[in-house]
Amino acid sequence: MTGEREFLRSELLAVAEAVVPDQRPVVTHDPGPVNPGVLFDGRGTATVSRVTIETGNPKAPDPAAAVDAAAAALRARGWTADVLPPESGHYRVAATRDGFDIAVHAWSADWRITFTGETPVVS
Amino acid sequence: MSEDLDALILRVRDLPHDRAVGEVDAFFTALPSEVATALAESRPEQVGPLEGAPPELRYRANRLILESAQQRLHALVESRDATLAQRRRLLTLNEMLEPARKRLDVDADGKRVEVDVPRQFLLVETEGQGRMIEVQGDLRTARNIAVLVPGMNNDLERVRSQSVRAKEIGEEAGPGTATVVWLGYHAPLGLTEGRSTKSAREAAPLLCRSLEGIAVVKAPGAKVTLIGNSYGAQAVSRAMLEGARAHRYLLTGSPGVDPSITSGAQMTPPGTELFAVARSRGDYVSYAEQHGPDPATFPDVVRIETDNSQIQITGHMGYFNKNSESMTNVGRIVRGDLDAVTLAARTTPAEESRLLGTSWAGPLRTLGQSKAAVPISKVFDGLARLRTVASTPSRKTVLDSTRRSRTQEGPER
Repeated sequence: MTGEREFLRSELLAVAEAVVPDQRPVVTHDPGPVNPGVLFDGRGTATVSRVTIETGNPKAPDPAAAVDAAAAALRARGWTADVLPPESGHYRVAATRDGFDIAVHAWSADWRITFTGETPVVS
Repeated sequence: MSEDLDALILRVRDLPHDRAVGEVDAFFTALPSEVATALAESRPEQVGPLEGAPPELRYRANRLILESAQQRLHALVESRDATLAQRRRLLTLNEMLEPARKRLDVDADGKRVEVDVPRQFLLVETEGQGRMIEVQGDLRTARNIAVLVPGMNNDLERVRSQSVRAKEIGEEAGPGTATVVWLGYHAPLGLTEGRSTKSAREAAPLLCRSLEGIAVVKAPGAKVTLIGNSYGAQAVSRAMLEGARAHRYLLTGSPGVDPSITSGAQMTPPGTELFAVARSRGDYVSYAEQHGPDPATFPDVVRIETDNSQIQITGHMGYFNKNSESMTNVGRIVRGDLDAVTLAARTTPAEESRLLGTSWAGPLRTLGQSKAAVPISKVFDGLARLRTVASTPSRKTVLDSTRRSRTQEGPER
């Protein structure tokens, strides 16, 4: 679990740095393993790690360019990444690789870009 | 002032929810801020859970309750008198007192700064299985507020995954969103308890009052979406039958409402913008219809799509999966982008089961309502308890974690 979590965090940081090169990305949430299947199997050990990174340039936000750059950076690192059609000012990328999932969110109403990822389930 | 607070609490206890929170709101509005703060700090057990009191005061009061419980349990662990459950609870309290996360912001000069985001609780009950209501974001300024009611097997230890889920719902819904994890009830622990609607019936009036408490502090145009997942959908449904005040309702993986409820019209409060449900293929909980007909079969509700070309959800656990259509639709509903919500085909459980290459929807429903469900539930619960004991933390882990927590939070009190 530790290895998967560290890999995910390093990938998110690398992609965020590629999207906004002049700003340092920040790990905003990394609570350690959780158990998302709390309903029936929630009594077991935690099985998934989720990590969130934020970056952005408050003086020059460009959400459309940001998601394009994020998708390109992800693909260059071996991820399958899709830029989804913008929706009411919401720009996003969905990416996957070897059971890892990443969502990149950018908004026309906000300068922040959020990169959030999830490790594969470890039973 | 303390006597006035006691009289207020006694007076509003049996009032209708809107009048009760209105009186509480008026009481605190009339107080000078330093008096109100002093009251929250001197009477945290009374102010912490009081619906209608300013959220900032409740956050402060509930933090004091957590710190007090943490100190009590820490002393027990140090004296080697703590039980396994108490050691686990201490770990939980340590985590609840740590910042929720960081966020990026800008200072007065327009420069980026990192800010610690403290956890905010509208309720904490630190004894027994525990309860809590956690707010992420600003209830006063949010344009959209999502209230997530989790289901079975959520106690104070295990609800942490729901806090992560709420954060991700906030990210899907976008800027201007606040989320609330509402574990203001004792969720059933195990299938045996889950077969009863008792927990949901007890939750309903508490949830109704909480929603009135939110209504009195939220921005005038802000919209509230009430989301019930699994057994949480049963709790939300019971609250809807009691007139819970939200703008939009979403039930995911519902085990049914009541045998007499067969349409949305029977349970939708006046002024509802949207009543939506989600049932993914192979959701055995919805197929079993333990508590009544599945709302996904009601002719007058919006059934949202759960799958997209990349991610297909099956079973009961995937409604909030990252990048799924289901999760995307949750974000659309919370932010009020209702025209963008994608709709599912009105397939039946039998059709969905065939798609999965099985045909167990019918037998599951029969089993769920038969006498055989009771012993099966007990066997399952017994196995689950064994797994819980296996993951109990060591005393050293608990103490180390407590020390780390105190270092981060400042000097010992």
